[in-house]
Amino acid sequence: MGRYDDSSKEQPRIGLRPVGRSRTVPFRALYDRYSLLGFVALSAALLLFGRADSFLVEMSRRTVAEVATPILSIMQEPLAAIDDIGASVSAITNVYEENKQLRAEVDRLRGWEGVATGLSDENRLMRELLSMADDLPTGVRSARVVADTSTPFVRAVLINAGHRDGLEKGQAVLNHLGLVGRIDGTATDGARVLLVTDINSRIPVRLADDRVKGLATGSNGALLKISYLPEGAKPQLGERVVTSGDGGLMPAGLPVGIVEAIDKDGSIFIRPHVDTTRLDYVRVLSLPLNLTVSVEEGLPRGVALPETAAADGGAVPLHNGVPVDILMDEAEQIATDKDAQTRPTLRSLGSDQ
Amino acid sequence: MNGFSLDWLLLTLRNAAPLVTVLFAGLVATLPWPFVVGSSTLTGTAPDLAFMAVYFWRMVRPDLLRPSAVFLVGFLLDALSGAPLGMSSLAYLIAILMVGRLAQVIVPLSGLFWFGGFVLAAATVTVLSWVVVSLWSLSFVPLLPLAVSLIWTVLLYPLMGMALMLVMRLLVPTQVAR
Repeated sequence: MGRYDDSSKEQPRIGLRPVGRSRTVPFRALYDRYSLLGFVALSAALLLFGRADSFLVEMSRRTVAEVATPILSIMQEPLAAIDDIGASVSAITNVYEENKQLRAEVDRLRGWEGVATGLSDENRLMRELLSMADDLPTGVRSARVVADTSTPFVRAVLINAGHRDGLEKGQAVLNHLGLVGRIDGTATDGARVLLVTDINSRIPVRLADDRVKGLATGSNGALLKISYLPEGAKPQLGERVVTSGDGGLMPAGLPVGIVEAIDKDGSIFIRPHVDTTRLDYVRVLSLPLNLTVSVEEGLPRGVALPETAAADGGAVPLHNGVPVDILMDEAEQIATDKDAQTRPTLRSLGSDQ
Repeated sequence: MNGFSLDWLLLTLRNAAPLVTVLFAGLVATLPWPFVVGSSTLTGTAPDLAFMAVYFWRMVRPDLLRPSAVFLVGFLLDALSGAPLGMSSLAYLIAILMVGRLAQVIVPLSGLFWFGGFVLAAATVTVLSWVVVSLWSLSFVPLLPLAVSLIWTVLLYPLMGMALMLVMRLLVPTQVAR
């Protein structure tokens, strides 16, 4: 008990003062001792409650992002300036070599320009012949990453554009290399982006060469795992993986990564094109599909009918090899925010097949 | 009106210094540092600056960083990062509860306890957070980033301790505002 109970002596400015030992403020000491246990219980309750009530959780996150984004925007300005200076110095020192490379690149691309123009004309002609509708236009909004809120448990960043700029939950986020993630929540002038590597990230993808479809899942590590590939799919190491556009969550064809490893048990891992440790500017695409549901037809616009072929003896309906439930969950996530009445029809789509 | 004077206001603001430093540390940890070279494998391995500050103030001036403030800090950090709400609060509070109890048993003012207690507390936060998130997501979260983050946190704590000591000498009053 000794030294800490002696209130006649001056308290050391630096040193341990066990909780609840001060004689001068017994109420505070008691409060401190028992409130600690109380707040532990409150934290545990919050964890359980937060899992059940997503509305209040979302509201809390939005409010915190609302306050933190402007502060973080100001705090990161000096760092951005340092980064820009570093990039400028690097560019100056490499300017000769880079110029030489760019000239070679221009020569090479001039040849491709002719090919691309020809293919574009041919593609337009074919579309007209088949009476195909053009892809719905997507809007683009640029934003800067103001905070990397990634922890060992969550992979996310904050950007300085929010619902005032037209951003909505679910929209695809990319940079010059490829898909970065998707909007997970918005504030007025800020938004949280869930990175593709997050353990809760699910991206409908297809292999660029085989055109078979699957679902890329994050693991909080560097690689994504592809699940739900159809039987017989044989991805090659180094094969490009792009978004499939299924579920209406994001446009098709956005580059995601390349196949980096195939395990003995057949698990396929892809390395994202985007280095999530070096994010600065990103672009946000508005949703390409308007998931309104026609009650008569029972189908959301933009979501194709699933194939009748099914895995597991017909128990699981597939759409291009991906279980419809998965696609519907993704579509439903978007539809929930837009119109709660669409849910029954979306759900029944999966079960009717 | 007698109670509300400029001195009282200044004293209250200075009393708020611990909470402000904790929140500031939490925000600094989220900044995209341009000169930190990392790989995607090590994303999210930043040191837990906020917990360093929480531990420091709870050990030095617990009267200025009450459990309610620790709870608030954890809540805000979780809300900002997108982690399950309550995870950081729970881990921080249990860690300081544990170290507080330990301080009653062993010689608390020794340097060994000062640093060893922090290592123990930081490890507790890491393990508790890992358990919570693994249960939350029903999958095992990779351990490598956690281990790297913990090592950074432990290695940088002496520096952080010195910086906070300076803050304390400059800003924090020796008496509590009533």
